Amino acid sequence: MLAALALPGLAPPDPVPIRIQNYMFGGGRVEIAAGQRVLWTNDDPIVHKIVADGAAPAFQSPGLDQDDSFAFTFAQPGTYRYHCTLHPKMQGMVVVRAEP
Amino acid sequence: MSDTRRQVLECMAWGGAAVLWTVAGGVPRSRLIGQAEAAPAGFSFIQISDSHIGFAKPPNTDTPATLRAAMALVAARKGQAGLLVHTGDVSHLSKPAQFDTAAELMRPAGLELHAVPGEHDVLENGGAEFFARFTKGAGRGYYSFDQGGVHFVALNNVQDLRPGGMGRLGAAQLAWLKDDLAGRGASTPIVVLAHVPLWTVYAPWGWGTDDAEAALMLLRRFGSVTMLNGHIHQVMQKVEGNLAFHTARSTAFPQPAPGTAASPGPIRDFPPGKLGEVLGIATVRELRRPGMLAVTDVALS
Repeated sequence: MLAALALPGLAPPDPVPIRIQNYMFGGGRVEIAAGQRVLWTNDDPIVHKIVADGAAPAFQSPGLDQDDSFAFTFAQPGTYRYHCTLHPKMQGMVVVRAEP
Repeated sequence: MSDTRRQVLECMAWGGAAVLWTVAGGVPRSRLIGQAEAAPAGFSFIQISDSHIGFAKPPNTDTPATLRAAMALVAARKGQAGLLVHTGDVSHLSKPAQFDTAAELMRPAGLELHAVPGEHDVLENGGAEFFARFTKGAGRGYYSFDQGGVHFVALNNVQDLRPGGMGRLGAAQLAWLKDDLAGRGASTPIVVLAHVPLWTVYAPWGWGTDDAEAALMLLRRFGSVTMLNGHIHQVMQKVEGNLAFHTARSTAFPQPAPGTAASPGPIRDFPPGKLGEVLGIATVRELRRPGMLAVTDVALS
């Protein structure tokens, strides 16, 4: 798990990186604070497309070719599950906590 | 069930010595052959797949060139072929220019083209650009037609996907398929086109279709059903009663055998000049005995 919670005296990294490698979202479950951005970068030599689960996805990337990136700012606390529309076995989760 | 109602599927692969595979009633046989056999009389057509126009990385930085080479092979081997089918991933990123390049490269074959979408073809605008060019006005990507005494069913199993799942047809398409097949005689040869395999080749990589069984239930009453798929960029086949499954090579790049690598690839490290051995096309012909189809895979080099 990649934790990116704000700690006293230590500014959180912004954006929080998630690398896509070998048809997997790095970290699997990532925890951030509300208002932070997540930046996905595709290291695979094949296209991936990120979309939040559900009928009305909270975010959706375009097709990401190798080395392409997509960023999304999570303003609202909650649990956001997402997957790749081309390879739905690829799944990830972003847990957004209320700002301290 | 008589022999004439059994499914026969042949597969030849050129890679040094050629091998002729014959699978009759689920029993495979193989023999070495020196040259391609003379094409017998009967209806035939050609399958290509996974041209991925727009992909430009190792092992193939020029996918238009390999599609052009594939089409040269089509021209050389088409004989009396009645049509050309493309089983998806025409493009790599669903860009209109990629679709246009592919269409332009396939046009000189002079064969009527029928295609089904791959997941790379529907990345933008719900696949509208692909459907406008390649599915004869079928805006949901599934349709059927008859040619040469064969009923063709083109399916879309790349758009109704679920997180954690594999390919999927969906309830609406299955209802349409039921209606499409209703009233057709069981002796009608059926060819089903779909991008993702309609049998589970390897679930951890998503190489299968979650609700394929519902479609197969509708197809089992027919004496000859041939499923032509792409997606996995390699030749694999399986016979299950009267259902024959066959996946085609890509014209762009190969992927590893199921479970033999950390991910589905593509395979990137090929010695110079070897790529053509793992790319290719397939020809399909109806044998003299009614209800039988033969599938022949041909590598680019």
